[in-house]
Amino acid sequence: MKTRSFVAVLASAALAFAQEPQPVPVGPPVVAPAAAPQPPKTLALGMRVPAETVLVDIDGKEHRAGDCKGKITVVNFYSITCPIMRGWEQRLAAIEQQYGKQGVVFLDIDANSTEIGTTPPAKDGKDKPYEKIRAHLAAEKLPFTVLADHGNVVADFFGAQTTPHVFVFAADGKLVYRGLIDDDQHDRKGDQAKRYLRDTLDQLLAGKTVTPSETKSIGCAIKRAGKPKAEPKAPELPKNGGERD
Amino acid sequence: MALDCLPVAAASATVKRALVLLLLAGGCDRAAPAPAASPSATVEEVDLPALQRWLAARSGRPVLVNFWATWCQPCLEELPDLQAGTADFRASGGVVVGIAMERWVQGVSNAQAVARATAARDRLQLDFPVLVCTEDDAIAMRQALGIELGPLPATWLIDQDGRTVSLHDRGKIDRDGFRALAERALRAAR
Repeated sequence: MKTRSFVAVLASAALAFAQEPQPVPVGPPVVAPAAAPQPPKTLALGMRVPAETVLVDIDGKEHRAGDCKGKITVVNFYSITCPIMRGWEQRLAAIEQQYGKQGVVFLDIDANSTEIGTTPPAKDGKDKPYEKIRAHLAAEKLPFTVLADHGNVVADFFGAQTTPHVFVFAADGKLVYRGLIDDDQHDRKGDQAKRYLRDTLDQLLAGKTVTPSETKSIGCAIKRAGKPKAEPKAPELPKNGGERD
Repeated sequence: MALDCLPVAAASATVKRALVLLLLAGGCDRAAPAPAASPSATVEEVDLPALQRWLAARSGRPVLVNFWATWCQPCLEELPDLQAGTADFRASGGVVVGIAMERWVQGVSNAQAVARATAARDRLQLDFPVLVCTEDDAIAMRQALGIELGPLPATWLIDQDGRTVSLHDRGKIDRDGFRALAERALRAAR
């Protein structure tokens, strides 16, 4: 299959969004004059990833979003160097081992330019890309399928902020959960832990509504490539601010 | 000045003179002593209650809190800009504190955490206080501080009334960015 650039894929697939059934709109009805549909800039709960979206894994195999049609899919933003990700990766591997047997698809996306480089490797076979990632997976006996998101186009579309940061899609392709794997960073809370990812998968497999649908992820910032010089975009300080607990 | 980094015992007086000149010119490969840390650049180990007390003791002043860690490269890269960009803010009564999250990494002891943060402070010649938080659970910290920590680095404002406001958690920012955040914090304090 011919691989298209992600920018092009996402731009064209934005149109696909407009043609697919959309979640119940939130907010006031729009009465402005009809304009060309604006492509979504980031993925929202209840939305699908355009089927044409393609990423290539570290072994060169292409993965299309459309390949996951009809399957519950877990996407995690991954890093081999983030110590916070490392704290979670064996538990994520255990979840993958368990739920993979029930047909759930697991994909890990590495969007860190410091780990995958800023551009895809040449296809002349001379390079041996992603050696460190491959070595880490082997050393830690991790079953992860790692996709390289050069230019962090997919990470930007997902609004992924950290490693780890998980996104769960129901079998109908809609995003139903995003956030933490669990609230047990060091795996010591036992029965007191909130196992968000496991609970989400159990709810989906049982045909139940997913709750919660969102938690705030925590971890290392994704090392994005080609980032323009940062400007602070902090919100204006509210007069009444937030409250301390 | 002793010439113990060179085998001078058998050297002639001329050679010794040359060696002294060489030394004065920085030719001896002995590491220069690290500049003394600024008196305000304390490194203090704090548990969560102590951290809450530390912050509460500054109520009435705007406090810019920068969450960082030595394992976070963007954090290390932005710390000098945090320092430079908030000089006016601090001169105007604002407080800047760095909270080092070394212990988020599994297996890091309190002593290791303090040593790493201290080494980074010295290397970067920071001139503001650093608190090494011994809480190793990021989510427990969120709940205790009322600060929705996500990715590092992250900069928050605790205003003069103790309210917490996220200023930036989308990667590192530069000196001008910090200057803008600090000015905004000062405006809010007036």
